[in-house]
Amino acid sequence: MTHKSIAQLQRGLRQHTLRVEDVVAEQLNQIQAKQDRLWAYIDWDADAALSTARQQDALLTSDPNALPPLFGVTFSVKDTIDVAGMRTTAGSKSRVDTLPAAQDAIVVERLRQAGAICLGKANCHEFAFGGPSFDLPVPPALSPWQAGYFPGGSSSGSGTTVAAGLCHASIGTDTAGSIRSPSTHCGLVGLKPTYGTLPIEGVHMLSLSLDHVGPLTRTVADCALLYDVMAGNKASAPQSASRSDGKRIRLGVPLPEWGLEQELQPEVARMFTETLARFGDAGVDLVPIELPSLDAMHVACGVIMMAEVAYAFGPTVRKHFDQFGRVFRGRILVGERIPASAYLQALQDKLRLQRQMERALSAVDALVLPGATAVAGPLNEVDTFYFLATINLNAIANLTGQPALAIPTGMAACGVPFGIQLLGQHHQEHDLLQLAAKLEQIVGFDVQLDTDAAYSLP
Amino acid sequence: MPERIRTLCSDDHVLPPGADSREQQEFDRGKQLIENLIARQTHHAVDALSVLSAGHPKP
Repeated sequence: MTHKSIAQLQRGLRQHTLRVEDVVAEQLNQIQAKQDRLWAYIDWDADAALSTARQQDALLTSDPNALPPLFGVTFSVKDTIDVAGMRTTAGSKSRVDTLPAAQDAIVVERLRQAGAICLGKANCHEFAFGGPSFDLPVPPALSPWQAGYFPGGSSSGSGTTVAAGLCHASIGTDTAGSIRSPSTHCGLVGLKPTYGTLPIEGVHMLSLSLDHVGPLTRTVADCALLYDVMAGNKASAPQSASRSDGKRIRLGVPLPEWGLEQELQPEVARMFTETLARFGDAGVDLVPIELPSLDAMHVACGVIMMAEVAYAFGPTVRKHFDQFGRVFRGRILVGERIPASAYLQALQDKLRLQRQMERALSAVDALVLPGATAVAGPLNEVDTFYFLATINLNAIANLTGQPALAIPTGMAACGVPFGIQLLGQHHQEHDLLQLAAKLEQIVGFDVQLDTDAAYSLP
Repeated sequence: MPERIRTLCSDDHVLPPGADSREQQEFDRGKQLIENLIARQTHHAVDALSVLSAGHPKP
């Protein structure tokens, strides 16, 4: 794929150096060619995508002014989100025979109305919770950066499809980091918006208190464009996210006593320090701020998530045990051990910690944290309970409901990308995207991905 | 035995038929992690209460 952003793609289409049909056909060819290596998709609909592409090519010639804002842009949809005419299997044996969805989820519908072309259903962890797992209908999605590596999850296929050039953008869900984790590990931009901002109709929910839906893209400008459309706003021009207002950026960083460094893999600690140094050299003010207890936020999110998923799935899993993958069913049944008092305590803690976090961020433009505590490793070494056994930095924004945006900053020694996440104030997605666009220019992440070389493909 | 939300309630310490010994081991480890999580929650709740008390002295 020669275009790196939606703006570049659409420029090429308007100048007739590209045709939508050719772009879509090439992506479909690549999906087919790479499927048994990357397992990025669960299903795709080539005929529908090519038909829409031809209609848009005709419009490019006959009436280019009538083109919708996302013309030529292809996207994948996490398979926990409904796409009309396609099955929503949630990556589960229990749903392989389900009927195709009657209608699009609202976020899918809005993207299509804006001209985006849906290619198919991206692979994911079972019900966005149980994975990576090797006993599901489709094997786990893999990183396009390094053979056999974990692409992050649970929107694993969303990360892989976008990073590998198998579409331009994806829709994922995020209960404890499931958009930002694949974004961090696949070198992408991923936005978990403010809780409740994007409509969840047609999205199969996991944990009502923590679930979010949002976009994964290659650039911040693309993310701004997708977010606006998904939120039902008028699509902003992608370039608008990089406009400069001349103000100094004030980035909040945790005080040492918050304990962040002790939770980080040494390589992550080094990369994060280097990234902050680059921001400082570029004139960004790094402001140490006092934050609510890291462990308290991790614990509250863990308790709420485990209790709510067990509530949603426990009885069904016990009744139809063989219909679920071992990772999913194990996690669900473990969640049944949460006492009612612990769940209620966690809901109270959530409100208290949310208020404390709002106060902490009032003096800065955003809080900056690493995208994860560790870089991605081989998929078959992922711990079944990694999200409980180690601190989950992504969980903070799910608990507080604040918008959080992952952006790539560099490469780890093992050849996979890594990044940071920015947490903003509630409902300030546009400010956060503007800020991220400036930081994106400072870090200048521009690493050429060669999946064929990583997988020794001819 | 602590109380549980009725619909979550399961006092089963073994998995349903179909689970092998490795899966049972993972389940046991998961239960330990949950117990650890709840112990930490109790610790944080005590901390939060003490902060609250310090800020609002009793009459």
